[in-house]
Amino acid sequence: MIFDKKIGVVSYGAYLPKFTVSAEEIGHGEGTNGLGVMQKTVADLDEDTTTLAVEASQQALARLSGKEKVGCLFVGSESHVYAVKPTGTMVAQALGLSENISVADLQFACKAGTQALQIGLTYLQSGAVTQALAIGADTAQARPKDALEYTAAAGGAAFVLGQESPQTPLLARVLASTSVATDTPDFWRRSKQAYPEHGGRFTGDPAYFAHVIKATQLLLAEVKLTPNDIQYCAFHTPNAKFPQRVAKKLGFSKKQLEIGLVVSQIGNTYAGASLLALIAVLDQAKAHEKILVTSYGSGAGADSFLLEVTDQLPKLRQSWNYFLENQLARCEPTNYRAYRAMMELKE
Amino acid sequence: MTITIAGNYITRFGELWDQGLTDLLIEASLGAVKNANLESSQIEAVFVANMAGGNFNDQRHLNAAVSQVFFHHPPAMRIEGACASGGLALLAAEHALLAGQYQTVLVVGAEKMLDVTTSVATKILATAADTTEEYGSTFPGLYAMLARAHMSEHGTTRDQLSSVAVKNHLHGLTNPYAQYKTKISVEQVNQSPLVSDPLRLLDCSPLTDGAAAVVLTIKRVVKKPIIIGFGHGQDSLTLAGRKKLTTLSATVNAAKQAYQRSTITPTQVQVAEVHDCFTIAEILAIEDLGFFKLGAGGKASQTGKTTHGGKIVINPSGGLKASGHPIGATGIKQVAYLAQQIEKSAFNVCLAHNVGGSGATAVVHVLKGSKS
Amino acid sequence: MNPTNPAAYWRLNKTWQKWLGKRGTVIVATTIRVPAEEQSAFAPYDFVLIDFGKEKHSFMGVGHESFQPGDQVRCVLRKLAQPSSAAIIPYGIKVTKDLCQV
Repeated sequence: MIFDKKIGVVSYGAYLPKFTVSAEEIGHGEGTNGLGVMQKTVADLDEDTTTLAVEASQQALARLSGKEKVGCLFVGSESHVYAVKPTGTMVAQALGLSENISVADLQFACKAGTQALQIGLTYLQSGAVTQALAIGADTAQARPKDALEYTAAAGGAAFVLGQESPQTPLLARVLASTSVATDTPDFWRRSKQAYPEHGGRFTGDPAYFAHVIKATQLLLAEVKLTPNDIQYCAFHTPNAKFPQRVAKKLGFSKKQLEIGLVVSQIGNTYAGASLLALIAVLDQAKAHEKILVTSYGSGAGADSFLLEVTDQLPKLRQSWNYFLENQLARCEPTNYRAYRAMMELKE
Repeated sequence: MTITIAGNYITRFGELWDQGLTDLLIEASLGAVKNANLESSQIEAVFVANMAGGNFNDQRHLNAAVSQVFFHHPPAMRIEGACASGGLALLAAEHALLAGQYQTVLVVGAEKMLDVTTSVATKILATAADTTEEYGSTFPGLYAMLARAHMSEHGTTRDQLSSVAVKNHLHGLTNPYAQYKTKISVEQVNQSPLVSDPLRLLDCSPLTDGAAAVVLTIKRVVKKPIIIGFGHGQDSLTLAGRKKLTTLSATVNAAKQAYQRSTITPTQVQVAEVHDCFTIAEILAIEDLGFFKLGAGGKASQTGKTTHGGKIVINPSGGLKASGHPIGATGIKQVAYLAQQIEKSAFNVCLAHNVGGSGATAVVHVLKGSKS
Repeated sequence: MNPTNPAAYWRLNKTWQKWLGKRGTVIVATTIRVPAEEQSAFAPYDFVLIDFGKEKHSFMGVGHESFQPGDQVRCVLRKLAQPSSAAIIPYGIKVTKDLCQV
């Protein structure tokens, strides 16, 4: 879908909980299999997806100077705290948003956050709202001793989406988006299970790679661009290796990928992952640079976006002082026991 | 009009498995009436003090539970003000007597706290605070903050806090009703497990089962102690609302009224049962009641000024710490215990000090022997 | 107040907006090691009295964070208690020294 209206990101915010646990701790000193992930974030005893979503959104709203009514709010997560009762209403309450608002929670594994982004953009494109809030947040669970334990992390990303206006100028215009989805059971969780199951190597080529490649190629065809026309790319990060491999397959260089590869220090924040990778890029990108983002959600699907940074973003960034890298810098390492104690209390 | 303490009774304080809440209320009630040498029918009204029978024991409507013990079913009411319930019940009785409503009444307080687990008890006790504005606090937590403020402003030390507990345990050895009749040392207090920093287990009064009762009359009775003054102070329920954290102005106000009514000054008080729910509470009390200067309470406790042979005897019963603190009973037990001391001619001018929560409510009574 | 009670939770969530993001200075704090049942998963946790300038208020500290007089703190949304598996999740205000920024 081409967005012919001037719509996109008018603000964004991220939140990393302040504890990390290293791959060594997870591996109990018996070697690590982090697939390039050196450490991952873990949410504190009293944090969860709701509180992470609120923190990220607070930063996004605090950076916004123009006051507009947020007409819709979508929260994507694999760890919504209720099976029935949306995260979105608690976030809306905390942010003091108008009662006149469309809210729903989304689940589509790690692409639930980008799906929230896409839906928000379509609300804007249709003129149904003038401002939308899209959030991806997770406190990902992994079974102890499973490979996923090295990477399942916690974090949140929030995007305020709007139309270009003097009060709320675009920081990055979203030019187009497209999605693919097929019934591919690479990773799933039944409702009464605490931990997900996965198909091992089946999660590779038929799942992650097939969908990320397909969605990206469809998008590039739609906008008639090649990787050479684009300055940055960000792909979903189940680990550090998959995005590097898919970037290469699609014809993107290491340089285009590297800023967004925060996964090695943060881990896989699931519904927050692609959005946090995008935020890492937005924290540094220069005016008029283009960004290609493709997320991946098991089960399976991928959302692809093309963004173009405006000259407003570098200007506004000068008045900010707390970027994703600053959040990472204030993280404190914790041991396995403390990490497990925190994980016990998560949904 | 003189209010005489015609009868008194204190049950054993401790783990009383064989008795339920109403059993304790009945024992104390009938005991006080007997001690007063009266017929049950002479009790014209009953004032019952209890904080949380509904939670600890699934029993409310305690005024009726006590009234029914008397075949003539005297009018009765229950009064609650957290740990000051006993003091408040005494005030309600005194007001009724002074108003001429009744001539002889029974005031009884009880609490049965040990049937529930510690964490359930902690939750119940926390309801003495503002559970909305101070949600997440525990009762020791609030006093711990008062302790820190006092240590910061006045230099009160860990050892000084401990000396209060040590002294009260020594006093408890002489009290037949006391929950604990054990000597403890400053080292033991200092090394006991932390409950809410800096307060340790032995800084804290225990959970206790127990009851106490007095019979008050405006009829003429010879050779019995009399209440010569009382006072009632209030302050914000929350610590956030207090003007200062290093004094309990509810105590200061209650004491001022009691001293005025009784025309007694602090220096004339020979003995006082004060509200040592925590060691810091006793230090605050002896300052706020005017026995020692503000900030001097810790040193006074440490240097023997608050025990026999010192300036004033504080908590000869062992206080809440060693005697025990069945919440609804405490305010009444203090007066009952002092009445007993007066009857034994051990002391003459006495003061009882009862506090609710972290200092929101305070009640002070001044008693003395009727011949003075 | 029982924040897992629907009506009490609903009255409480009206007050989140008043505090979220507010900053203040610690007056005094304690570390609660013997908690009520519903906070047992969080113990030890601090309970903190804060000067917010126009007013003072007490809040629980986040996680196991510990506070000293004079610390700068920020109000955040956190779980006030670990609920049973069936109950409403009681969110409310706590304070943290993790100031985060714009």
